[in-house]
Amino acid sequence: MDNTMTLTKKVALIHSFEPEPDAAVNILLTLQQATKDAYVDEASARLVADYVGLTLANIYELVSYYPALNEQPQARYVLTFCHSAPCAVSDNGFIEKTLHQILGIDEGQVTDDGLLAYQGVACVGACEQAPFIKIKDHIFPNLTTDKIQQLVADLKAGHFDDIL
Amino acid sequence: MITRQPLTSRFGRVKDITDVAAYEQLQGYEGLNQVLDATETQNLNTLIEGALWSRSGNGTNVAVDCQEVLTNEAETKYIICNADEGEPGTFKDKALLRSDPLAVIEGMTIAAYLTHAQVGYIYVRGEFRDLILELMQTIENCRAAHLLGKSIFDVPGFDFDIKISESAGAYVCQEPAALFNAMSGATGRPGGRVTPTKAGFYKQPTLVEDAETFANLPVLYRLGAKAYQSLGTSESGGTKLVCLTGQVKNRGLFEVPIGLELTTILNDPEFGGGSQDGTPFKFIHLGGQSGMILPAENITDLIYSPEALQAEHLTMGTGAIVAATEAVNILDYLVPVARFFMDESCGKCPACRIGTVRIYEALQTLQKQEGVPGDLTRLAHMVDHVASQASCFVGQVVANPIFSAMAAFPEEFKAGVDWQAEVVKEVPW
Amino acid sequence: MGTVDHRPKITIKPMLNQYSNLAEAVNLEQEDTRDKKEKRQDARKFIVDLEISNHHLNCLECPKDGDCGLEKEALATGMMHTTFHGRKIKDHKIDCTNPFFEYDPEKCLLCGKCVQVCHLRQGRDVLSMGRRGIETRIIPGYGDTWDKSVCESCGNCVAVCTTGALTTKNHKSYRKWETTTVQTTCPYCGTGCQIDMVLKDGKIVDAEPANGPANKNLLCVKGRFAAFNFAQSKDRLTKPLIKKNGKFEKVSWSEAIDYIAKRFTELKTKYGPDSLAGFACSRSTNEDDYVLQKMVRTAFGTNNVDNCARVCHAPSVHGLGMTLGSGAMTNTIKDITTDVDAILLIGSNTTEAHPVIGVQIRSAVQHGAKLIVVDPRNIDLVKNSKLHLQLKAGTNIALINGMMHVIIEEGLADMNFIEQRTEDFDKIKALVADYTPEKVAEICGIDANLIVEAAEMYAKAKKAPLIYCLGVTEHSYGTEGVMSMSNLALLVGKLGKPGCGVNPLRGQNNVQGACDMGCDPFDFPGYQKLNTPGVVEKFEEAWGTKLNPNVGKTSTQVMPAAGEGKIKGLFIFGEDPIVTDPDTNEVRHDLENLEFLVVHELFMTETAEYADVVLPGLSYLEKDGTFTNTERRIQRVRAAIKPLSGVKQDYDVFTEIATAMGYPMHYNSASEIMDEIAQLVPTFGGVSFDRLENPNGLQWPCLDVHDPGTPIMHVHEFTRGKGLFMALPYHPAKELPDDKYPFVLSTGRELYHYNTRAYSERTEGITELAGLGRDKSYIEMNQVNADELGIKDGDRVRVSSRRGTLETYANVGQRVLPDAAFMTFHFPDGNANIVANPMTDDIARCPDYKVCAINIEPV
Repeated sequence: MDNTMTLTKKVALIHSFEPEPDAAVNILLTLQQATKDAYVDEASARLVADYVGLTLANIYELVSYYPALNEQPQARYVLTFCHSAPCAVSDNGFIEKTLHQILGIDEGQVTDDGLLAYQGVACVGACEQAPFIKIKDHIFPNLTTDKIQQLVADLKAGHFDDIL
Repeated sequence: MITRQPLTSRFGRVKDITDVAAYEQLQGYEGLNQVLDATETQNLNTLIEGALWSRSGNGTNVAVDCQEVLTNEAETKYIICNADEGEPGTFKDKALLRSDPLAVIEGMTIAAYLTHAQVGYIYVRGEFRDLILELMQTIENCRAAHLLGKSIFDVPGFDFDIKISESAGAYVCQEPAALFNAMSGATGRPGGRVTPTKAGFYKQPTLVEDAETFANLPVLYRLGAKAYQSLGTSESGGTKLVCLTGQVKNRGLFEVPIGLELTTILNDPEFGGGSQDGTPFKFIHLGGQSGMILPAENITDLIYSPEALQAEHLTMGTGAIVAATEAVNILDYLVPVARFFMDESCGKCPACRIGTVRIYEALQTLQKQEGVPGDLTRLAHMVDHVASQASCFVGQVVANPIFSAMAAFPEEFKAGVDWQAEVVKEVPW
Repeated sequence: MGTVDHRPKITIKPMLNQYSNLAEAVNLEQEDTRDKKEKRQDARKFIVDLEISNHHLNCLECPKDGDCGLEKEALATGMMHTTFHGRKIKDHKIDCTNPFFEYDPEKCLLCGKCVQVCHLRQGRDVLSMGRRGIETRIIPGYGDTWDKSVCESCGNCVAVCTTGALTTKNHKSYRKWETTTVQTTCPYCGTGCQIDMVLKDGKIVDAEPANGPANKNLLCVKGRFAAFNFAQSKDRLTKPLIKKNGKFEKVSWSEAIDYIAKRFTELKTKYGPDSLAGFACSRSTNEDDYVLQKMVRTAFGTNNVDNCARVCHAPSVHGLGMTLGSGAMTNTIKDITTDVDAILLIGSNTTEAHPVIGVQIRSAVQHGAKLIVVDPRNIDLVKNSKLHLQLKAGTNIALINGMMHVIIEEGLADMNFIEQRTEDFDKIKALVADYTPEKVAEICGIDANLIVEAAEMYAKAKKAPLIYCLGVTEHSYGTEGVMSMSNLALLVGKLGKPGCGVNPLRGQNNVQGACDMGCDPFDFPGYQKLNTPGVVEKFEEAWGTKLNPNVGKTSTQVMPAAGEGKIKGLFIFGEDPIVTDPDTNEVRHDLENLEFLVVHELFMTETAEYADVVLPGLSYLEKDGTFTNTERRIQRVRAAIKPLSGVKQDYDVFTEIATAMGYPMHYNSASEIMDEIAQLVPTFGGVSFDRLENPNGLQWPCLDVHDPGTPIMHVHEFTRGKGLFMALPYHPAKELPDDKYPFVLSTGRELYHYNTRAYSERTEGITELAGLGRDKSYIEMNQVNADELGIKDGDRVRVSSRRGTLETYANVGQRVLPDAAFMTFHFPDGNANIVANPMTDDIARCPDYKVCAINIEPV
């Protein structure tokens, strides 16, 4: 996990939740969002498991089952787009094709600088803003090819460093 | 005069949605106060007469569920607001929580009072960090104002508090059995059938509804049964939040009185406003991915109410309506639908785990027009087997969009087949 | 809230989508004319088709061919191949990283039984059903390969797999239809697990768990994977050997037996019968051990006969014998791990030393039992415990006295029980008055509150067994420690009842039996004491010869006596004291000093090298007989394979030596020996091989042929009449740390090897896993000490005591307390017994393996 997050900080974050199994997903999501690499590594998973009284295997099952939890380090910016049917009607693979063109990588791959990746996900409830790209909490709505190019340039230039 | 859009009436009118006082100024907690002033029988009767149907798509009558939770004795009972909204094309619960979270909380509190439940949960997608932080703040504010906690509203023994349970994304958690597993820290896969009102969360009586249903409760009690019911039809009271997506001109969230004509919702400038390019619609997908696909010519007289739709073997579902014009081939539309079910299969039962993949692949073959004679029969049987052998709704509902689409647009399916090719051998199953 | 008044009744059917019509959809091409029955059969076909479409079809190579759930279903439905051409699970690489078994995700039906076994039965929680959809697969640990997980390789997941997804590597060499099975009893620890030996062409090729009463279809890694290779190992002894001019020469049986008889007779004549001694084998059968002690008592004419219980549970036999009248587990394994409220576990690293009992304790905890662990080490079960009393080694008696103090002070003692069933309560009450929690906390080095909590938890629980092991017995006050256990249980009336009792977990597969069979200098078979009037006469009459009436020497007395020249001749049956006994250098000296040593063994052991005659023995897989497990359960051992060519039945060897020495003996079968035992031992009165065909065996006492056996002892009355309280003050161990030797070393076992490792080391996979994956010795020490000494994990260190010095690897962590250390004796490169403490307790003469002052220094 992000090496800027010290063990003490991690433990403090975990201990801000109740030590019950039902807090596991809450903790894992919070922990993941608090770190730059945005994934749950084994050491952190073990801390969570011991704290909430689940086993490491239980935690692994959660992390590997849910799309919102990651087993592997993520790119700095993961550009998510919707591949569900309602958006497909509106954009018909437009975002995916455009990102493939601009970034030169396939879905799920990471650019060489570790900065960018794109990933199709199921509905995020922003259907009325399609075609859109979602990065963490932020939605970039009603995109065109130019707007996507601008967005990628902005991300590379670090313009969104503070909000994302 | 009663607003015709009570659920969204506060949207955008409050600066700080977490502020209890601001909420109260806009008729907040009036519904709950009505409840507190009435007897249990009166309250249940109000609920029955208001004819509030669950808005989550599971088609139950809220009064029935409340009464069952009330009747089933237990030390702890739960009120769960499932705002996870995994259904593509649906964003009404998120909108409610983002714009008027106190209405949902008030609704849950009313439900708790009606059922004698003590613990509430809002189950919400963990990725929406800002939404969760706002919700936490709202709950904190409620506690500070003694609207959540012990002996709230100065009613001795009225103990109710709400926690947030974060979801990490699983459509199958719409199934209560999976939801309860997920909320308890296990993996969100269903483990057999459950009757929530009897043995729900932690095997205790539990009322599970979506945010919209809970937000309806304060409205119902504030307006009174009669006024509330008259917003809708005689059999279904209130309004419905509809999410219009696809090729309608006005995509987005609309609050419509139940009993409106479906074409009005699609075409009225107040709502959908017709298609984006002015061409007629070809089909709509009603109620979410799990709903039916209807050719536009079949919906001309359709009334948007649970009972009218039921007569046609349809439901409102989550209130999602995807509309598409002639520009969209039905197979192009169905492939991502099938992909959704494939991606959301939890992996527990083989029919769904492998069957949804095979359905997706079969549809892709047709989409690429690489089908051979016999493939359509194969697809139909495949879908039928998956739907009838899957152990939860995820696999079961696959048949709805596919069969309805096959019935509506047989020619487009047939066009996916190369009729000169060698016939696929007899379907063995 | 308002009271519930009249509630209106509402019944409205929910509205749901209905699938649109299949018929209509099918009619795009053709009509559907199937009836209901056909549709049901089609449904089954469809699932098989789907599964095959995602299956690794290499049936000819697959070990499960002919025994596969999917194959069977395919045959039943006629779906012999798939009609799909779609994609399969992406992550389909076979995981071969476990030494004993493999996982092929592409053969997995995801039935989840393996996950359930791992979680609910084994309690190890290694496996999960990771990922989702078609990518769902069984995953060990945190998403890595099997070897990276904390899997204990018990193989119980493999046993429940319906397809070839999980298969043992052994299974590659056979197919089900070529094999037969023979059920027998595991030769490792005292749990008494039942194993099905899988035979192909007269050779054992695999082992599978059987549904025995003690193991309920579970096995540990040793029972499952290491219980047969050694018997078929190339280095077995096959011929008698006589040392001539310092070199062993193969000789005939008749030469060996004549020679042995001649030499023992000479020594007996010259120095008297008490100059001879015999050690029985706790790994061999009751029948062999019975005949061995009979040979020593009749032909040798001495009671110098003992077995290795002396160095483990002799204090239990003596201690509980004194206070309750019987020194065995009072309750059954099932009884103390099913439906209990609390478990008090003292000095038992159960998951490693008695793995299958360990997993049943874990399972009891899953079902709500509160586990209290009393152990100086942070053993694995601590994870499952409510309380861990990490006391200093050697302070058990103080702790128990402290707990009794709390129980009496808080009025939690069972006064009714005490009054009706016990004696000398006043003495114990007076003694423990002094042992306040504060005082005891000081002695034990733990928090006083923990003592109070533990006492309350144990006393208040309705059903709470006390389970203990060598952490209680192997002390310089071990027998006193054992009696403390019965004191505590008597005080709260937790004896003679289901889910309670005092339960020593016996070490070897048949150490209980070796004791029962009278391989003991104080007792004839069935704990009939030499000094009880009439006993010697009874056996004289039965065996038709004059017997020596004098109590013999224990093995721990025989060895020094050999060193001093008082014991001249020794017959060792299946023991290796150089490896197992403390102070190795002294043991070597004692053996060298013997005039005549016979070792009867499977392999050329370190001890055998010292012998004048070495006799080849038979393994448990080549003989019929019985083992008695830790819960007094007599279970059958069945010959699965033919005896190694040229090797005699062990009891025949003893009878032939006795005959040659002038006491004629002969038995036609093991069953015949058991019949003699049943005649002479009242508690075995109803035992016979016929009755032992019952899958539950028989638990002694079993007085006659109608007696179903005794699962719970002391129900109405203690074997000795009343339960005896023994007021025992705490004494510090006899060897304490000082400036020169500042660490306290305890010795013990680990999961993968068993004792001298003679059995376990002959299975390759075991050596890959043992000794922290190095198969080399190590010493556990605390991080604090390691930091002080500049030692890092994995460094070489020198360990020395007043007796010897060895070198080993440091295993640094938090498993032991600061200033404490732990070693096993499984590894020849650094056997803890080189430094271990031979000082024994005064009653049972068991050495103090748990408290030994040592020094550790970096190399």
